[in-house]
Amino acid sequence: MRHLERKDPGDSRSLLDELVKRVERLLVVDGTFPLRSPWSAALAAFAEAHPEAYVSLDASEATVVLAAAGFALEGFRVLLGPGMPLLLSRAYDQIRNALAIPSLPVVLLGTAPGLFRGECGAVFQLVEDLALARSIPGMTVLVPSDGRLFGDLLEEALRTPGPVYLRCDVSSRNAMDWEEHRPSVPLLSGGGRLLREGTDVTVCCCGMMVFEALEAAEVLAKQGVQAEVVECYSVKPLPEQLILASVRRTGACVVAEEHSRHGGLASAVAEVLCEKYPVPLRRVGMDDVFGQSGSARELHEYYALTHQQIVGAAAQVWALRRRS
Amino acid sequence: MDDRCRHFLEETALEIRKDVVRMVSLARSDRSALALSLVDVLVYLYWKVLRTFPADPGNPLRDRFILSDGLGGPALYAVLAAKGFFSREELWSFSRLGAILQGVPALGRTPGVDAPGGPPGQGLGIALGMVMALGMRRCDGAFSASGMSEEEIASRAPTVFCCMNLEELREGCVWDAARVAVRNDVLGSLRVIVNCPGWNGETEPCRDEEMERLVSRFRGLDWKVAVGDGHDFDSLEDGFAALAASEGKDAPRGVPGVLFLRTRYGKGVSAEENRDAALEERPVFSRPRLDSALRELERRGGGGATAPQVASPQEDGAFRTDMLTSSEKEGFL
Repeated sequence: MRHLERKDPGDSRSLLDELVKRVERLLVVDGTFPLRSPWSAALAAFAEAHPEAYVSLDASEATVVLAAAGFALEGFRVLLGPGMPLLLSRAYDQIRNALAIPSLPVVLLGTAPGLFRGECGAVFQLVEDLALARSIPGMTVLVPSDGRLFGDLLEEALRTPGPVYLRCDVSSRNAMDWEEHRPSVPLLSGGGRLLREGTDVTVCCCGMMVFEALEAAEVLAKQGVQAEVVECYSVKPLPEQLILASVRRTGACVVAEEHSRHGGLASAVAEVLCEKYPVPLRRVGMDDVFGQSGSARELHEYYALTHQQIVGAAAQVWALRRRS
Repeated sequence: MDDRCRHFLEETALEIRKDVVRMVSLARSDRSALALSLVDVLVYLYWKVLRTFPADPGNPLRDRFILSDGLGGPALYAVLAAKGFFSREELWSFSRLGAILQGVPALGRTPGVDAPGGPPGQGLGIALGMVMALGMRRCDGAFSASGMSEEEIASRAPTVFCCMNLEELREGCVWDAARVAVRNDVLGSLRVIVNCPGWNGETEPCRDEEMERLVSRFRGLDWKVAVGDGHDFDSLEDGFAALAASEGKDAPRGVPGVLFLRTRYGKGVSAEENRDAALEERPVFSRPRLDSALRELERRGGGGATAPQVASPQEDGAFRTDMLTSSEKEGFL
């Protein structure tokens, strides 16, 4: 696997520059949105450098999605919506009917997932995006945790034949690169990676919760519980074999995600385990509530998305673990 | 348009209408009224305007046609079958399990369908994306060959046609797309056909009023606008000519054009035409109703009020066989 050669993994400008060289007929389709996104500066520079690969429409999300369908029908590989934080929720109907039913190769970027857009409050905190995207038949759902993984998954997504929802909450917090966890195998849709081996409890996680899970594993190790951390960057299709193999060893499972507890990774893992190998399971995620304004850090603590929660949940399931 | 050509189009439209009522009847559907209102404009488009490659439906040089109002699907399917995109036998399995002809045109399932049909107002946005994509590809030289002049390249670049229903224009994203379509960097040419079907009866005047409002709204957005009669081939010819006028000379970009067409629901089948629009009950085409509809189409010639029989029987037959062996049609026209 050749990784994208970039100086700074979190730099979306150089990421796009690389992609336009490597992906044939790549087209970035964007709408205008009054809110600045972390992509704004990078996009402006990209539009200047590659005017042939960038289209910005002064239109609503719905129209931009429909136009993206038109571009995809004419053979472009469309990267949709780096500047449209509410793309998924505002244009659900068009995504379903114009992109997903004809199975067009379009990558939808989720730029306001979870609580990442903390200061804006509930409107710009899509805590149900994975549930929405996951329920569309044929949609691939990817959640990277760090900048480099994001780059790799984006390239992979642009080669996928159908629609892909790619969360990009590569915030400052997780921009640091966990070099020691670099996988040596190619990243594929339907994949996951084993970040830490353990024997007592499995922790499935995605996005920024990967870092919380690794921290929790450290704490648990001090208490004598060896946690196995499985990063499920592909929420759909789910890396079922990886999860099942891990759970068969440990007999207990915790799922941690920056998402509502309903319909996201936790639901996906629970569905698989219920059917194939039932074990005690706890979900660490948002309650059935919307977010509010605050810094991302504060919100994660307020809504119980921290490593302490994972430690507590792991202790609970470990006590109840399946022993056969 | 000479008489011979008009006569051919009328005969073709009659055969298409008969196929539409047959397939709708076989599907036990009640949705023939809208399809019948679209038949004439689709026949005109497919035999006189669109550049199509029935043997090679994915040819990049083809003109794109998007049926935004997917419920008119039966008319499109009958036309595509007559053009030779697929066997006419497929019509009889319309909307059944496993059929290539879905209730609403489905991409990749039916040869000749360029875009997914869908909920109201979806077509124009997709058409906008296609036009922009084709314009970009034209700049990349996708439609040019060595030694071609600028005009030749322009004439080879495909046009995107989008057929909508008046009711779809209530959708906000239609106007969003209409506004964006007049941007400077939209280089391809876009033609929108707005089908304004009315029932026989009292609903007519308010329909006209709504249409006038929408016409002026499109004018306000700098679109070229024409209005015509969707069941009169001369009027259709004038309408499309008006949209194409002064194209390609003043500017490289195409000005998008919209053609409003007054049509009639269930055109050609009086039981459909005269149905009370307010009536909720929509009877399906039973066998006796199908037979009477086919008889009526034969008698009235599908079109005008009382179609006078001008053509001699032999000529009639010749035209019909010609229509069913679609290969020579282009040459004939």
